[in-house]
Amino acid sequence: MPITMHKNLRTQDRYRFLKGKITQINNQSVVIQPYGSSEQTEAYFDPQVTYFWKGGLTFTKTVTGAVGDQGTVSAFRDDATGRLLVETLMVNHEQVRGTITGVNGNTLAVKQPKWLATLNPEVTLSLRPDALDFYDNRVDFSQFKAGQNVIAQGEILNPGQLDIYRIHIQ
Amino acid sequence: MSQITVGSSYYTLCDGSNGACGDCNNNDMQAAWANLSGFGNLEPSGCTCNGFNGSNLPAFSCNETVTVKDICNDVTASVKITDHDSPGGCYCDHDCNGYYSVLRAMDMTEHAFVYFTGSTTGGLTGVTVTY
Repeated sequence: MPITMHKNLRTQDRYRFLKGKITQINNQSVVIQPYGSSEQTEAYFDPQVTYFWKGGLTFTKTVTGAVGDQGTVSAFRDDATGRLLVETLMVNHEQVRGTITGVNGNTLAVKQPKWLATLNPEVTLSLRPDALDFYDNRVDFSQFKAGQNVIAQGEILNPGQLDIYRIHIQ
Repeated sequence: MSQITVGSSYYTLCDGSNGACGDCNNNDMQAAWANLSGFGNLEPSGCTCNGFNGSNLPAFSCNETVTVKDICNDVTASVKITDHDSPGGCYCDHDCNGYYSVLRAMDMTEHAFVYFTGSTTGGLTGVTVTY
Protein backbone atom coordinates (compact mmCIF):
# COMPACT_ATOMS: atom_id res chain seq x y z
CA MET A 1 0.00 0.00 0.00
CA PRO A 2 2.17 2.88 -1.20
CA ILE A 3 2.12 6.31 0.37
CA THR A 4 3.88 8.34 -2.27
CA MET A 5 2.76 11.94 -1.84
CA HIS A 6 5.47 14.13 -0.35
CA LYS A 7 4.85 14.67 3.35
CA ASN A 8 4.69 18.44 2.85
CA LEU A 9 1.66 17.98 0.61
CA ARG A 10 0.19 14.95 2.33
CA THR A 11 -1.70 16.82 5.04
CA GLN A 12 -5.22 16.53 6.35
CA ASP A 13 -6.24 20.00 5.14
CA ARG A 14 -5.13 19.25 1.59
CA TYR A 15 -6.73 15.83 1.42
CA ARG A 16 -9.74 15.00 -0.76
CA PHE A 17 -11.48 11.66 -0.96
CA LEU A 18 -13.65 11.15 -4.02
CA LYS A 19 -15.83 8.13 -4.77
CA GLY A 20 -18.27 7.99 -7.64
CA LYS A 21 -18.57 7.59 -11.38
CA ILE A 22 -15.65 8.31 -13.69
CA THR A 23 -17.00 10.80 -16.25
CA GLN A 24 -13.69 11.56 -18.00
CA ILE A 25 -10.27 9.98 -17.93
CA ASN A 26 -7.14 10.39 -20.02
CA ASN A 27 -3.39 10.23 -19.47
CA GLN A 28 -3.37 13.48 -17.50
CA SER A 29 -6.41 13.42 -15.24
CA VAL A 30 -9.63 11.82 -14.09
CA VAL A 31 -13.00 13.49 -13.48
CA ILE A 32 -15.17 11.99 -10.76
CA GLN A 33 -18.85 12.67 -10.11
CA PRO A 34 -19.33 11.63 -6.48
CA TYR A 35 -22.42 9.55 -5.73
CA GLY A 36 -25.33 11.76 -4.72
CA SER A 37 -23.76 14.88 -6.18
CA SER A 38 -24.21 16.69 -9.48
CA GLU A 39 -20.78 18.29 -9.23
CA GLN A 40 -17.72 16.86 -10.90
CA THR A 41 -14.15 17.15 -9.67
CA GLU A 42 -11.00 16.80 -11.73
CA ALA A 43 -7.85 15.37 -10.20
CA TYR A 44 -4.51 15.17 -11.96
CA PHE A 45 -2.07 12.30 -12.30
CA ASP A 46 1.57 12.72 -11.41
CA PRO A 47 3.94 9.99 -12.59
CA GLN A 48 6.00 10.43 -9.44
CA VAL A 49 3.18 9.75 -7.03
CA THR A 50 0.08 8.30 -8.72
CA TYR A 51 -0.74 4.62 -8.52
CA PHE A 52 -3.62 2.85 -10.27
CA TRP A 53 -5.38 -0.18 -8.99
CA LYS A 54 -7.96 -2.32 -10.77
CA GLY A 55 -8.95 -5.93 -10.44
CA GLY A 56 -6.46 -7.19 -7.91
CA LEU A 57 -3.99 -6.36 -5.20
CA THR A 58 -1.27 -5.10 -7.52
CA PHE A 59 -0.76 -1.42 -8.22
CA THR A 60 0.48 -0.14 -11.54
CA LYS A 61 1.77 3.14 -12.88
CA THR A 62 -0.32 2.75 -16.03
CA VAL A 63 -3.50 4.78 -16.28
CA THR A 64 -6.40 2.42 -15.62
CA GLY A 65 -10.15 2.96 -15.68
CA ALA A 66 -12.82 3.99 -18.15
CA VAL A 67 -15.79 6.32 -18.31
CA GLY A 68 -18.65 4.75 -16.36
CA ASP A 69 -16.41 2.81 -13.98
CA GLN A 70 -16.53 3.48 -10.27
CA GLY A 71 -13.52 5.53 -9.22
CA THR A 72 -12.22 5.94 -5.69
CA VAL A 73 -9.61 8.68 -5.53
CA SER A 74 -7.20 9.77 -2.86
CA ALA A 75 -5.88 13.22 -3.77
CA PHE A 76 -4.06 16.16 -2.22
CA ARG A 77 -4.20 19.82 -3.20
CA ASP A 78 -1.03 21.30 -4.67
CA ASP A 79 -0.90 24.86 -3.35
CA ALA A 80 1.29 26.02 -6.23
CA THR A 81 -1.25 25.12 -8.90
CA GLY A 82 -4.46 24.68 -6.93
CA ARG A 83 -4.85 21.28 -8.57
CA LEU A 84 -5.69 18.04 -6.87
CA LEU A 85 -2.90 15.50 -7.33
CA VAL A 86 -3.94 11.85 -7.29
CA GLU A 87 -2.09 9.49 -5.00
CA THR A 88 -4.28 6.46 -5.73
CA LEU A 89 -7.08 5.73 -8.19
CA MET A 90 -8.92 2.52 -7.36
CA VAL A 91 -11.25 1.33 -10.12
CA ASN A 92 -14.42 -0.67 -9.43
CA HIS A 93 -13.09 -1.69 -6.04
CA GLU A 94 -15.61 -2.38 -3.30
CA GLN A 95 -15.81 -3.99 0.11
CA VAL A 96 -18.81 -5.91 1.37
CA ARG A 97 -19.69 -7.37 4.74
CA GLY A 98 -22.27 -10.06 5.23
CA THR A 99 -23.26 -13.60 6.12
CA ILE A 100 -22.54 -16.59 3.91
CA THR A 101 -25.79 -18.22 2.81
CA GLY A 102 -24.33 -20.71 0.36
CA VAL A 103 -21.02 -22.21 -0.73
CA ASN A 104 -20.31 -23.73 -4.13
CA GLY A 105 -16.62 -24.37 -4.65
CA ASN A 106 -14.94 -21.00 -4.86
CA THR A 107 -18.23 -19.11 -5.07
CA LEU A 108 -20.01 -17.76 -2.03
CA ALA A 109 -23.52 -16.37 -1.75
CA VAL A 110 -23.53 -13.57 0.82
CA LYS A 111 -26.41 -11.62 2.30
CA GLN A 112 -25.52 -8.13 3.54
CA PRO A 113 -27.37 -6.68 6.56
CA LYS A 114 -26.73 -3.24 5.06
CA TRP A 115 -25.67 -2.51 1.53
CA LEU A 116 -24.54 0.22 -0.81
CA ALA A 117 -27.01 1.53 -3.36
CA THR A 118 -24.62 0.41 -6.08
CA LEU A 119 -24.91 -3.25 -5.01
CA ASN A 120 -27.68 -5.77 -4.46
CA PRO A 121 -28.39 -6.86 -0.88
CA GLU A 122 -27.45 -10.41 -1.83
CA VAL A 123 -24.24 -10.77 -3.78
CA THR A 124 -22.22 -13.58 -5.29
CA LEU A 125 -18.55 -13.55 -4.40
CA SER A 126 -16.29 -15.32 -6.87
CA LEU A 127 -13.05 -15.99 -5.02
CA ARG A 128 -9.85 -15.77 -6.98
CA PRO A 129 -7.52 -18.77 -6.65
CA ASP A 130 -4.90 -16.44 -5.18
CA ALA A 131 -7.25 -14.63 -2.78
CA LEU A 132 -5.69 -13.49 0.51
CA ASP A 133 -7.04 -12.78 3.96
CA PHE A 134 -6.38 -9.52 5.80
CA TYR A 135 -3.10 -10.93 7.14
CA ASP A 136 -1.93 -11.71 3.59
CA ASN A 137 -2.32 -15.46 4.03
CA ARG A 138 -3.60 -17.52 1.11
CA VAL A 139 -7.27 -18.34 1.60
CA ASP A 140 -8.26 -21.97 2.17
CA PHE A 141 -11.58 -22.31 0.33
CA SER A 142 -12.62 -25.32 2.42
CA GLN A 143 -12.94 -23.13 5.52
CA PHE A 144 -16.04 -21.30 4.31
CA LYS A 145 -19.41 -22.42 5.66
CA ALA A 146 -22.93 -21.04 5.64
CA GLY A 147 -23.58 -18.78 8.62
CA GLN A 148 -20.08 -17.30 8.81
CA ASN A 149 -19.70 -13.53 8.68
CA VAL A 150 -17.13 -12.28 6.20
CA ILE A 151 -15.56 -9.07 4.97
CA ALA A 152 -14.56 -9.25 1.31
CA GLN A 153 -12.92 -6.90 -1.14
CA GLY A 154 -13.02 -7.21 -4.87
CA GLU A 155 -13.82 -5.82 -8.26
CA ILE A 156 -17.46 -5.07 -9.02
CA LEU A 157 -18.49 -7.16 -12.02
CA ASN A 158 -22.15 -6.15 -11.76
CA PRO A 159 -24.45 -5.11 -8.87
CA GLY A 160 -24.83 -8.73 -7.79
CA GLN A 161 -21.34 -10.11 -8.31
CA LEU A 162 -17.80 -9.31 -7.22
CA ASP A 163 -14.48 -10.86 -8.19
CA ILE A 164 -12.86 -11.25 -4.78
CA TYR A 165 -9.16 -10.92 -4.09
CA ARG A 166 -9.28 -10.44 -0.34
CA ILE A 167 -11.64 -12.09 2.14
CA HIS A 168 -11.63 -12.49 5.88
CA ILE A 169 -13.87 -14.46 8.22
CA GLN A 170 -15.09 -12.35 11.12
CA MET B 1 -3.27 12.67 27.64
CA SER B 2 -3.73 8.93 27.31
CA GLN B 3 -3.02 6.54 24.48
CA ILE B 4 -4.24 3.16 23.37
CA THR B 5 -3.16 1.05 20.40
CA VAL B 6 -5.90 -0.85 18.60
CA GLY B 7 -6.70 -2.42 15.27
CA SER B 8 -8.90 -0.63 12.76
CA SER B 9 -10.93 -1.80 9.81
CA TYR B 10 -13.01 0.39 7.51
CA TYR B 11 -16.61 0.56 6.39
CA THR B 12 -18.53 2.24 3.61
CA LEU B 13 -22.09 2.74 4.80
CA CYS B 14 -22.02 6.19 6.42
CA ASP B 15 -24.55 8.17 4.42
CA GLY B 16 -24.40 11.50 6.26
CA SER B 17 -27.52 10.90 8.30
CA ASN B 18 -26.95 7.59 10.02
CA GLY B 19 -24.65 6.05 12.60
CA ALA B 20 -25.13 6.07 16.34
CA CYS B 21 -24.49 9.83 16.52
CA GLY B 22 -26.70 10.63 13.53
CA ASP B 23 -24.19 12.27 11.22
CA CYS B 24 -21.92 9.49 10.07
CA ASN B 25 -20.34 10.55 6.77
CA ASN B 26 -18.17 8.35 4.59
CA ASN B 27 -16.65 11.48 3.03
CA ASP B 28 -15.22 12.80 6.27
CA MET B 29 -12.43 11.92 8.70
CA GLN B 30 -14.58 9.86 11.03
CA ALA B 31 -14.62 6.54 12.81
CA ALA B 32 -16.80 4.22 14.81
CA TRP B 33 -15.57 3.15 18.24
CA ALA B 34 -16.52 0.01 20.16
CA ASN B 35 -17.14 1.80 23.48
CA LEU B 36 -19.34 4.82 22.86
CA SER B 37 -20.68 6.77 25.84
CA GLY B 38 -24.38 6.13 26.22
CA PHE B 39 -24.26 3.09 23.96
CA GLY B 40 -22.07 0.70 25.95
CA ASN B 41 -18.98 -1.33 25.26
CA LEU B 42 -19.36 -3.88 22.50
CA GLU B 43 -16.20 -5.78 23.33
CA PRO B 44 -17.28 -9.12 24.78
CA SER B 45 -16.47 -9.78 28.41
CA GLY B 46 -13.15 -11.59 28.63
CA CYS B 47 -11.95 -10.44 25.21
CA THR B 48 -8.21 -10.04 25.75
CA CYS B 49 -5.52 -9.21 23.22
CA ASN B 50 -1.87 -9.12 24.21
CA GLY B 51 -2.87 -8.72 27.86
CA PHE B 52 -5.32 -5.90 27.22
CA ASN B 53 -8.88 -6.68 28.27
CA GLY B 54 -11.56 -5.17 26.04
CA SER B 55 -13.64 -4.32 29.09
CA ASN B 56 -11.02 -1.64 29.85
CA LEU B 57 -11.48 0.09 26.51
CA PRO B 58 -11.92 3.83 27.12
CA ALA B 59 -15.31 5.33 26.32
CA PHE B 60 -15.54 8.17 23.81
CA SER B 61 -18.49 10.48 23.30
CA CYS B 62 -20.34 11.27 20.10
CA ASN B 63 -18.42 13.87 18.08
CA GLU B 64 -15.35 13.62 20.31
CA THR B 65 -12.19 14.22 18.32
CA VAL B 66 -9.19 12.01 18.93
CA THR B 67 -5.72 12.01 17.39
CA VAL B 68 -5.03 8.86 15.43
CA LYS B 69 -1.58 7.75 14.31
CA ASP B 70 -1.13 4.81 11.96
CA ILE B 71 1.65 2.79 13.58
CA CYS B 72 2.56 1.27 10.22
CA ASN B 73 3.58 4.53 8.57
CA ASP B 74 3.32 7.33 11.18
CA VAL B 75 0.53 9.15 9.30
CA THR B 76 -1.43 11.20 11.86
CA ALA B 77 -4.80 12.95 11.71
CA SER B 78 -7.66 14.21 13.85
CA VAL B 79 -10.62 11.83 13.67
CA LYS B 80 -14.16 12.44 14.89
CA ILE B 81 -16.02 9.60 16.61
CA THR B 82 -19.49 9.40 15.05
CA ASP B 83 -20.61 5.81 15.32
CA HIS B 84 -20.71 2.74 17.53
CA ASP B 85 -18.58 -0.07 16.15
CA SER B 86 -20.29 -3.43 16.17
CA PRO B 87 -17.72 -6.04 15.23
CA GLY B 88 -19.90 -8.75 16.74
CA GLY B 89 -17.04 -10.58 18.37
CA CYS B 90 -13.56 -10.44 19.81
CA TYR B 91 -10.88 -9.78 17.21
CA CYS B 92 -7.18 -9.56 17.93
CA ASP B 93 -5.48 -8.14 14.85
CA HIS B 94 -1.81 -8.22 13.99
CA ASP B 95 -0.17 -4.85 14.03
CA CYS B 96 1.55 -3.84 10.79
CA ASN B 97 4.71 -5.75 11.68
CA GLY B 98 2.93 -8.80 13.02
CA TYR B 99 4.76 -8.46 16.33
CA TYR B 100 1.76 -8.58 18.62
CA SER B 101 -2.00 -8.56 18.70
CA VAL B 102 -4.16 -5.50 19.09
CA LEU B 103 -7.86 -5.37 19.87
CA ARG B 104 -9.94 -4.34 16.86
CA ALA B 105 -11.91 -1.48 18.35
CA MET B 106 -12.09 1.12 15.58
CA ASP B 107 -13.89 1.13 12.25
CA MET B 108 -12.91 4.07 10.06
CA THR B 109 -14.77 5.63 7.20
CA GLU B 110 -13.28 4.84 3.81
CA HIS B 111 -12.16 8.48 3.63
CA ALA B 112 -10.14 8.13 6.82
CA PHE B 113 -8.75 4.67 6.07
CA VAL B 114 -7.43 5.73 2.68
CA TYR B 115 -5.81 8.80 4.22
CA PHE B 116 -3.95 6.67 6.73
CA THR B 117 -2.97 3.73 4.58
CA GLY B 118 -2.94 5.11 1.03
CA SER B 119 -5.59 2.72 -0.27
CA THR B 120 -8.20 0.19 0.75
CA THR B 121 -6.19 -2.85 -0.23
CA GLY B 122 -5.25 -3.93 3.27
CA GLY B 123 -8.55 -3.73 5.08
CA LEU B 124 -6.89 -3.59 8.50
CA THR B 125 -4.26 -1.41 10.12
CA GLY B 126 -2.90 -0.67 13.56
CA VAL B 127 -3.39 2.75 15.10
CA THR B 128 -2.48 4.60 18.27
CA VAL B 129 -5.33 6.74 19.57
CA THR B 130 -4.47 9.74 21.74
CA TYR B 131 -7.28 11.24 23.79
